[in-house]
Amino acid sequence: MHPVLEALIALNDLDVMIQELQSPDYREIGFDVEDQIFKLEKARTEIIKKIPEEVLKKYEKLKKKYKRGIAPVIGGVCMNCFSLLPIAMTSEADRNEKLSTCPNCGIFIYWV
Amino acid sequence: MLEKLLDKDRVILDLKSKNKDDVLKELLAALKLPEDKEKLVYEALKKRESIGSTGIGKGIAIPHTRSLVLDRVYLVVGRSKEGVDFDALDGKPVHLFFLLCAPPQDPGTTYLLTLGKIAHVARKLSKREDYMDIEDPGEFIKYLAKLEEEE
Repeated sequence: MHPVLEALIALNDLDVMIQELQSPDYREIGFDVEDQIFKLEKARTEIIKKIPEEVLKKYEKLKKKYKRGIAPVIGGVCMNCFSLLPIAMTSEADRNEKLSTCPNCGIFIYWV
Repeated sequence: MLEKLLDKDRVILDLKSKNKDDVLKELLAALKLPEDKEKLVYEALKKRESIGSTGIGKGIAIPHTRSLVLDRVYLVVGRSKEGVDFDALDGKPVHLFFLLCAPPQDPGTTYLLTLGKIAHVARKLSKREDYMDIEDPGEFIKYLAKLEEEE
C-alpha cells in the first residue's frame, strides 16, 4: 500500500474516532473518555507528519465539504458520491499502490 | 443481533495471549484480513485504547474501532481462562473480550447499536460466571443470544 494512502486511512480513522467520541450516542453506552480526546489530537499531529502538505490541504478541504477526505471504493463504486468508477481504474492491479482520487467528486479513494 | 454477527470461527474460547497488545492481535487475527489491513485496524484499536481502556471491569472488555479498510461490521468474542491485564477500570484481569470493528460508513448504524447491545449483555455477564464453563463456540453464541433477549 502507498505510504501516504496508509497515512490518510489512519488519519481518517482517527478523525472518525474523534467525531464519534463526542457524540451523545457513544457516551450513552457508558465509555468515559471525557477530556481524553487531546491524546488523539496528539496522535493526529504525528500522522500528519507523514502526509505531504498539498495532500493534507486537499484532505482538509474535502473533509470540510464531505465530512471526510477519503472514501472506500466497493464494487467499483465510490462510497462518497456513489458514482461508478471507469473500468480502466477498476482493473488496475496496483490500485492501492498509488494515491488516486474519484474522477467525479475528487475524494481520495481506497480500494477495499 | 449478536448471533447474526457472530460465527463459530470468531469465538475463541481459549485465548493464548498474556498481555493487552497480544490479545488485540489474537482477536484481530480471527478476521483473517490481509496483513496491511490488519495493521491499520490494530493501530486504530490501539489509539482507542490509549485514551482509556475498554476494560469496563468485572472481567470484561469491549475493544472497538472503526476503520476505512473494513467492508462491514465484525464481531469477535474471546475468552481467557487465566485472564489478561487489560488496564481495566477496576484493575482486575479480563476474561472475556468483545472485539467490534466497523467501517466509517455504516448506513444502519449497526456499529453503535451493536456496541450498545454488547454493553447491555456485558452488564448481565458481570453478575455471572457460568460463561467460563462453556466449551463449544456454537453453544457460547446461543448463550450470548439468550442473554441479549432477556429483559
